[in-house]
Amino acid sequence: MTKLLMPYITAGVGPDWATYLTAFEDAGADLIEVGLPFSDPTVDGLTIQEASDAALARGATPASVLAELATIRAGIPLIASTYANIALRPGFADALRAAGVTGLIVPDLPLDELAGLSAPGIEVSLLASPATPDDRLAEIGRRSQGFVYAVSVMGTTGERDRLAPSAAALALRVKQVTDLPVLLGFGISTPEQAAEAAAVADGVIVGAAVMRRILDGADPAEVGAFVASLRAALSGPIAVR
Amino acid sequence: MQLFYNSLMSSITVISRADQTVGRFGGYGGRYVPESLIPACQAVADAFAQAWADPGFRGSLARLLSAYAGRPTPLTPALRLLAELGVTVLLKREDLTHTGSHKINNVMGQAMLARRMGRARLIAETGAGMHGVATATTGALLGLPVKVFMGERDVERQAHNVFRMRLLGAEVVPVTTGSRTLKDATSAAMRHWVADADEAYYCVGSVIGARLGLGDPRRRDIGHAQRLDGPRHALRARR
Repeated sequence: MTKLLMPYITAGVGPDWATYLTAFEDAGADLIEVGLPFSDPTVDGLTIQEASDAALARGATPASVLAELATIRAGIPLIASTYANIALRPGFADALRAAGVTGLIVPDLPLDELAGLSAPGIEVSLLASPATPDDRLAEIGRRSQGFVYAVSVMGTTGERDRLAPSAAALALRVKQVTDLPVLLGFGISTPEQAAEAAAVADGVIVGAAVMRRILDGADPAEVGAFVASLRAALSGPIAVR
Repeated sequence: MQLFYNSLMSSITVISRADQTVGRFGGYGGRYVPESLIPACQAVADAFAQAWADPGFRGSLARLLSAYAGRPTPLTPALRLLAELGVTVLLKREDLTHTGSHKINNVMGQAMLARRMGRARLIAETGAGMHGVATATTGALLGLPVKVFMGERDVERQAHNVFRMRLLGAEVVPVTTGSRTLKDATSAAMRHWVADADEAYYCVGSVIGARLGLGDPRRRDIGHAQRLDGPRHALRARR
């Protein structure tokens, strides 16, 4: 089975942010995670915090970036991610659907608080953590929609030198409780790490490694080339070490 | 006056009761934290329920609050306001506790819980610095190392409290992201806790909106402490 690739972008990070989405799609992304900037991103490390702050400083709001998103005709699913403060506002799901978004990730809205979210027509994907006990993991597997987001490491988002040892163990545990694709995220920074992660999971989510390039000024073609290198690593034969 | 205290105490009791059955302050609370922190929050909630049912724990806490923190604090009549406005105003002198604020009440309960849970260190966020000072003080008393996250702007504005925390042996980490104030310090503490959830106890000092499992001990400790003082004052006020 082809492994799934979901690159991430912070919506509104720069005036031309939406053009990166086309580059991701052309580079072989299967889905795109569109982060709606929030002032207190508690699960994000420095890179995505910086991207979020940059977007907010430009005046980006959930409504403004979703309006821009609505003008993009993406041929692949767009998955919004943001925090509970934004996701629990009345009408949020309507705004997502109007923008052509089909899925949602809310990292600070765990199982216990899910009842507060009303998102008809939107697939809500839940996160699983290395610390999640088995019974809870089973419930996450049952209630997640679209895919399960496996958090590879006890920490925040951000580039890391190597794939955390907890990643493989968690991916295997999640696969036992769901038939949905299991995507590994948090810290996956290089094509090699992506291939290593995809050996145990159904795909990868790459955020900070993309956003650091964008913050450093890489244009859509350059970031597209990075995404293409991830695609190649996922599609090629898995390296035997 | 007695009526006032009765209604105050009964409202506190209602909050405590709601805690025990619902645990989320009616419709206002919730555990809005990353999945990675759910087990750590639950561990605190479970340990608190167990500790609170243990008369030994509550006795030790009551002794510390009395012999170390200086509770109960007195009521001071504001006589000049009475003369000026004809209104009886009684000041509940929480400023007379050790470290100079009510913060010590909840911190002592949380720090004792952390020690009971076998946690190796305390982390905390602070705004003006009073919660950080109370945590640094209690950590020093109980032998728990303390790390306090504080927005860079607050570090500048409240240099005196930064000095006090460091004097007490705490590490103060200036937070340089976002608005560089309390909310960013809270986010930084949560990010730190995710990576150290097995060993660190997050001694929350702010009303940060989440039923972290941590909100419970704070509210209940404060409620308990006020109940300790309340009957005495009710009697005094009646006389």
